[in-house]
Amino acid sequence: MNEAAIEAEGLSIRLGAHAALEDLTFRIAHGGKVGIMGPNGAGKTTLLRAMLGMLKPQAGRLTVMGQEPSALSKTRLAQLRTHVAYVPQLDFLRSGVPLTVREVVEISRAGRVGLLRSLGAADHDAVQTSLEQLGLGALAGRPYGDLSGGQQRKVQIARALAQEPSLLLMDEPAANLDLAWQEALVDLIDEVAAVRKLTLVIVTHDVSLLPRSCDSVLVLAEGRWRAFGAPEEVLTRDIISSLYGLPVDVERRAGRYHVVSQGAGDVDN
Amino acid sequence: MSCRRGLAMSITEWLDIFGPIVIAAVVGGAGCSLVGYYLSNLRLPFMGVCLSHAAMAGAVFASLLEVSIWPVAFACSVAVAFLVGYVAEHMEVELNVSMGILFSFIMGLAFLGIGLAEGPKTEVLGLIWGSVLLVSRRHVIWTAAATVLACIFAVLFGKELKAVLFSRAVAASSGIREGLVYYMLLLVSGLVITVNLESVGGLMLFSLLVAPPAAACRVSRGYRTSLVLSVFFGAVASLGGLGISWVLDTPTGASIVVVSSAIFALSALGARLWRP
Repeated sequence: MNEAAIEAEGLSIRLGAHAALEDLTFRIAHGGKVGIMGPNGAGKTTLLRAMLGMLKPQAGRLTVMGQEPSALSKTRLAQLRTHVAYVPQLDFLRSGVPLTVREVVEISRAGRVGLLRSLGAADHDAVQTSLEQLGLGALAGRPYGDLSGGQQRKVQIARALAQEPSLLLMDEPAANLDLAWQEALVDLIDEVAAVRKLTLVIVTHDVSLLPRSCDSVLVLAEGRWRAFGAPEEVLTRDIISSLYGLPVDVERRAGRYHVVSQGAGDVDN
Repeated sequence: MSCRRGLAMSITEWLDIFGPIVIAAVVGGAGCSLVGYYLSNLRLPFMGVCLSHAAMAGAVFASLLEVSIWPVAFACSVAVAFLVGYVAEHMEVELNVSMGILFSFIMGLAFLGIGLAEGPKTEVLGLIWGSVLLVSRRHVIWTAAATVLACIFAVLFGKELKAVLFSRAVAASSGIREGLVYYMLLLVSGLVITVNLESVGGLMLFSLLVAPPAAACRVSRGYRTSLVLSVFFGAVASLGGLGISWVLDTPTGASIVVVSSAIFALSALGARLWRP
């Protein structure tokens, strides 16, 4: 059996008095492309933060690349994180420091290089390759703060890829963008998934923003497991209607899923 | 104390007396603005106030207890920096709230100490307002050493600091020991602030920590340029304040604050007029 990239067994995490995740069990194989979806407050971002070792489980186990992030020393955790790239929600990135696009992408290499060492030729090559792969070469010298929301997300993806990770975690990478940028970013994630050999975990609350490349979907609601499996098994009318408390139809077009609301109504949860 | 009486001196005498003062002002202003750049861009300008007032409270009580002032002031500054960080990270209290509570507590302690001081309170009041004109040569060496240490820290941990300033979460997720870098920054900031307490004063230090970095970020669009400009503005504010104090016979600390605020106002105006 293929070793798991991520494995959770009875995982429970509390944020203050609130149970953010409860008794969660799932397994993501190396190279898997997994979408985590659910309504607001489902615990999706909490799960990503736990994978990064930023939150400790109160019960159960979570292993990432064969290691428990919460059980590692700070040095070992930092080493693990050099193999795990993270694209947070853009709302968390409102920095006032005037960095260029290239400088933001270079952040990804600082952890790999280590303290008291400068970036080397291999690091600069990785940064340049990543910038060019995402079509950001011409913007490399521009101030990051001058870019549009869509461009900033592309830079964040470039930063994550320049880290040359084994595991890429993305939190709502296409949310709050206009339609053209949403489509461009979802296509870009599919391209990245095809080219780079990595495990991809992408969080979204919008089914239509799940990339085609996702081979499985984990559905959460109120911190609990609702479903996990292939998209065609999980993204069904019954499960999505139950998830949002609305009668919906789920349509599949060109490999992507779209939810069409049938209007307000009561659905048994 | 004013600088005017130096007018009748020879250049050698002037350099002998005022050379250390000018060096203390320039180097101290530069050091404060260097650490202030990082604190401001971490959106922690209030941390500077907390650190400077903690150092002031420590110095006041050390003076009362007749023990060496600077080790106690430094220890208090660092203790408060670590306490604020710990409370914010482990006790689910918003950072600015925890700093606000600690700041008011520290201010209360400092004024309690001043109230308890017997006889003339010149020494303890000097810790509030500062007096660059009364600094000793040993103090100048300490100030220069702290600024040099801050510069070395900025160079050695440049790439980590840049990442932490951009986003602590992104820095951490990239495998950077951001907690280590963050607390080292607080330690260095505490040291720079403590050594400048005597020359600039606990109340006035905040201006040098905040105004020059804010001015630099207004007029510059690059990281390195804004960092260097912040240090330059800090040195200019101190030197300019000293010059105004000399010419107009005004209190030095207050003059430095006025100049650093004027630099910010000019930069804000310039950015508004000339930026596209």
